[in-house]
Amino acid sequence: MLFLAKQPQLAKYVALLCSGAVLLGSLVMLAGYDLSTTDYQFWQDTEWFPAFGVSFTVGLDSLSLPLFMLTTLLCFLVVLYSWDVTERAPFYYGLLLLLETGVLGVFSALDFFLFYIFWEIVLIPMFFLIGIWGGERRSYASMKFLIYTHVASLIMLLAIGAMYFKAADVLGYYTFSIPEITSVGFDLSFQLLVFPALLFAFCVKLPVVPVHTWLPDAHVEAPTAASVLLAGVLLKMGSYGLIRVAYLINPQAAQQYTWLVVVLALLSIVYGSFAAFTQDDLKKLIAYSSISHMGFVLIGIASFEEHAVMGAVFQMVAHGLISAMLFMGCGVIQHHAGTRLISRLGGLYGKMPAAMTMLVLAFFASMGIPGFMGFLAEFSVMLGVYHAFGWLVLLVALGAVLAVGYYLWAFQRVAFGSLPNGLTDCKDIYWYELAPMLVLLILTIYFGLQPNMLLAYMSDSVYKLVSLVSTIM
Amino acid sequence: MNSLTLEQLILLLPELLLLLMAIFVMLLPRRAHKMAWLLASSGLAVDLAMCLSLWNTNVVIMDGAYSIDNFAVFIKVLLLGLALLNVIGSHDFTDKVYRAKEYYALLLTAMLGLLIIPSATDFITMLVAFELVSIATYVLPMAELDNPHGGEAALKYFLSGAFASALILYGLSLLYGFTGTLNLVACSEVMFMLGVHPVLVLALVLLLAGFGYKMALVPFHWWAADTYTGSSSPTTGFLSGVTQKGAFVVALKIIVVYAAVLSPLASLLLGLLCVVTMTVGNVLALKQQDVKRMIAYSSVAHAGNIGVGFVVGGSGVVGSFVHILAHALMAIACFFVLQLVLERKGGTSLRHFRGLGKQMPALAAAMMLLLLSFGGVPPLLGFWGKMLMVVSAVGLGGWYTVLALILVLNSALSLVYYAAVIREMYMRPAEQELLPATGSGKSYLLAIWLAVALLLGLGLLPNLLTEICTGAASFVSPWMPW
Repeated sequence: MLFLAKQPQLAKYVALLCSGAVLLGSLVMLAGYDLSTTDYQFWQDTEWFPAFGVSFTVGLDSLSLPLFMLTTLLCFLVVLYSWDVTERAPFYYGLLLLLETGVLGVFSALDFFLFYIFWEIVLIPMFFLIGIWGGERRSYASMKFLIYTHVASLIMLLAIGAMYFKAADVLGYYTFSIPEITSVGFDLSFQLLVFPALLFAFCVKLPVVPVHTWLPDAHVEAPTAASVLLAGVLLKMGSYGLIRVAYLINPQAAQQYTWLVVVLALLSIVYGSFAAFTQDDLKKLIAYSSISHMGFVLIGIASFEEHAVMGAVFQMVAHGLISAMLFMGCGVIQHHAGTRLISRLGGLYGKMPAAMTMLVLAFFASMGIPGFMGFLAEFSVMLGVYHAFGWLVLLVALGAVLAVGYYLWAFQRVAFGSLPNGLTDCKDIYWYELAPMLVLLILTIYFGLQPNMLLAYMSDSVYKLVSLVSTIM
Repeated sequence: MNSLTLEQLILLLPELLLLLMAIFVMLLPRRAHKMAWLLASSGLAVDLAMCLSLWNTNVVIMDGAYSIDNFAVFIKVLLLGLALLNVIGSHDFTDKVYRAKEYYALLLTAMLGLLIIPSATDFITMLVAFELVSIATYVLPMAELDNPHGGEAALKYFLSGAFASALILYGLSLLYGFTGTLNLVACSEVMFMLGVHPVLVLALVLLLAGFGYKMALVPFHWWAADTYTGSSSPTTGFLSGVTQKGAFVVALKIIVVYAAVLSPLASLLLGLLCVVTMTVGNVLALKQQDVKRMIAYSSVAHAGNIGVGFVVGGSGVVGSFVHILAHALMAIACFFVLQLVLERKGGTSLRHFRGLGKQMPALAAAMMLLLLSFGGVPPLLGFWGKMLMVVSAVGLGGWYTVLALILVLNSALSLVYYAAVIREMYMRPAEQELLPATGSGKSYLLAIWLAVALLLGLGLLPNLLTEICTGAASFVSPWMPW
C-alpha cells in the first residue's frame, strides 16, 4: 500500500481487490465447513518458537467462524464505503487491511501467544485511523484508546503467563496452545485469581461500564469506516475473548463471579440506554447504544443457560451487522449534512429520502423489531435470563424498551420537522454508501427470518459452554 | 610455566588486535579522519569474526585469570556488533569530530576494556578493565566542535564516574578485607562458608551504588539525562548502547558472586532499585518536550527493565540478555535518527518532529518502528525481552508477580510518550521546513535501517536469539560451587 503513494487512485482498487479476495476465500471456507464435527477445522500448525512452546496454530470452530465471516464481510464493505477518501488514501487503505489482518488473526489464533500478538497488532492501525482521519479531538481520543486498551491487554498477558505455567505443571510440558490449555482444567483457587484479570481485560474491550469511557470518545472522533470496524468487529474481539479464554478455561470461577458479571452487564444495559437518551451527537448516541447492546451479550454469557448463550452469540453477529449499518447511516448524514448534532438537523427526509429510509431500518433493527436479527437475539437472551435469574429480566427489558425510545425520538428530530437553513442543498446517498448498507440490511432481515442458517454454525460452541456448567452442577 | 603459550595468545587475539588498532590509529596523521574511521570499523569487524569463532571454546587461561566461556563470548560478540553498528553509522559524523583519530582510538580502547570484563575472573581485572572503559569514554561527549553542550556533558559524566569508581573501590576493599581473596569464585566460596554478615551487606550496597551510577539506576541516574542529551547523538548511541551495557555485565557478575549467601536480600535490593528506576524514568520522560532528553530518560527506565530480569533469575536472565540487545539496537538507531532530525530540521524537540511523516516518510517509518519496539509492542524485538521476563516472573509467583505487574504497567506508561512522538510525526502538520540535504546522513540511514531490520527480523523469529542467550546464561555461573 505504501508504494502506491504515487498513484493514490489505484489504492482503493487494490484494497477492494484484496478484501474481496479475502471475502471470497472465507466464503469458500464456509462452504467447506463440516457441520457434523465439533472440533476445530481448517487447522494449520507450524512451529514458531519451540523453546517456549509457541507455535503458529490457527483454526476455526463454531464460535470463531461466524465472527471470522463477519470480519471479512465488514472489511470489504468498509473499503467500498470509503470510496471517496482522498487524503493519504494509500496509507488509509493499508491501515484498513492491516486492521483486518489483526482481527482475523485474533479470531483464528489457537495459540495464546499468537492471540496476544494479533490482539496488540489491532491497536496500531486503529490508533492511526482515529488520529489522522478523525474529528476535532482525534488526538486525545486516539491516545486514550491506545493506552486504555493497551493496559487491558497487558493485564491479559499476565493472566496468559499464569495459565501457561499452571498448565505446564499438569501437562508436563510447556505450551501456549489454546486447546491444550483448555483441556487442563485448573483448580478453583487458581481460577479465582486468573478470572478477574481476564474479566477486566475483556470488559475494557467489550466495553462494559465502568471501563467503557474510551468508547464514546473513540467512536465520535473516528472516521466513519473506523467506527464501523470498531463497533462491528473490535468489540466482538472482547466478547470472543471472554468466551474462549475466560469462560471456557475457567468455568468454575466464572460461576462464582456470576453476580459481578450480571451487575456489570445490567449496569451497561441500563446506563448505556439512559446515556443514549441525553446525547445530542448522533454518533455518540449510537456509541452508547452499542454499550447497551454489548451488555446483552455479557448477561447472556453470564447466565450459562442455553437460550441465553445462544442469544448472546447470535447477538454478537447481529450487533456487528446492525451497528455497521447504524454507523454507516450516521456517516451519510455527517458527510452530506455536515453535522451530526441532532439539534442542528431536521427535516432530512425531504432531502435525503433514501438515506433516511436506510437509517430508520437500521434503527428498527437495533431496537429489536421482529423480522430483524436483533429481535431474536434479544428475546433469546431475555428468555435465558428469566430462566436463570428470574425478575432481573425486567431490567434487561428496560434497556430494550429505552432503545425504542431514544431511537424513535432521535429519528423524529432528524428526519422530520423543518429543514435548517444551511442544509437546503444536501445530496442524497451515494451509490458506494448505499450498496454496503443494502447488503447489511438484506443479511439482517435474512438471518432474522431464517436464523437457522446461522445458528447451525454456532450451536456447537454454545453447547460446549453450557455443558461445562452442567458438569459442575 | 607461567608464561603465555602460543595457544593462549591465539585465544587472546581479539583483545590484542584491538590494542594494536588503537595504537595504530593514534599514530595516524592528524587529518586522516576517514582512515581512522576505516581502521576502527574494519578492526571491529575482524574482531567480531574472531570472537564468533570462539563460541563453545570454554577454557580458562592464564592460570585461571581469564575465562573464555560462552557467556563471555556472547557478551563480546554482542558489544562488538553494537559498536560496529555505531561506527558504521558514524561515518558521516566523522567530519564533525574535532579530533577524529583520537575519538576512534578511544573508542577502540573502550572496546578493549569491554572485551576483558566478561572474561575476568577476579575483581581487579574486572575493575581495571571497567575503569579503562570509563576513562576512555569520558572525553567522547566533547568530540564534536559545534556542540555547545558537549563540555558540560563530559564533565558531568567524568565527575559522576569518578565518584562511582570511588564507591566501587571502597566496597571492594571491604569485600577483600573480609574474604581475603579477590578471585570471584574463591570470594563466593568464602561467603558461602561465612554466611550473612553486616560488612558483606555494606560492601554489596556500596558496589551496587557504584555500579548503579554506571547503569543509570535511580537514584544514581541524574548524570545520564544531561550527558546523553548534551553529547552528540552518535556518541550517545555508543554510551547508551554499549558502555552502559558493560556496566550491566559487571553488575551481573557481582550479583552472581553474592548469590550464594545474600540471594533474597540482594534480589530484594536490586528489585526495589529497578522498580523505582522504571517508574521514575518513565514519569520523567513523560514530561519532556525535547525528544533527545525523553529518550535519555527512557534509557534510564529500560535500565530498570533489564535489572528486573537479573532479579528474577533463570529465564529472566535470558530475557535480560535479549532486552540488552534489543535496547542497545533501539538506542543506537534512535540516536542516529535524532542526529538526522537535528541536521535536517534544526532541532530535536517535539515541534521539530511535526510533519515528519510527510517530509521524510522513510525516516518517520523507521522511527515509528523503533518507538513501537521501545514501547514493547509485538512482534518487534523490544517486546520479547519483556515477555520473557514477565512470564518467568509470573512463574515464580509471590512478590515476583507484583514485579511483573509493575514492569507491565511501566511498559504501558512508556507507550504514552512514545505514541506522542508518533503522533507528532504523523498527525501534525510540519512547522519547520526541511533544511537542504547536505549529502551526509546516508550512513545514519544505513545504521538505522540495519537496526530496524534486526529488530523486526529477530522479533519475528526469536528462536535463534533465545537459544543463544540461553546458552550464554547457563555459563554465567558455571564454576560456582553450588
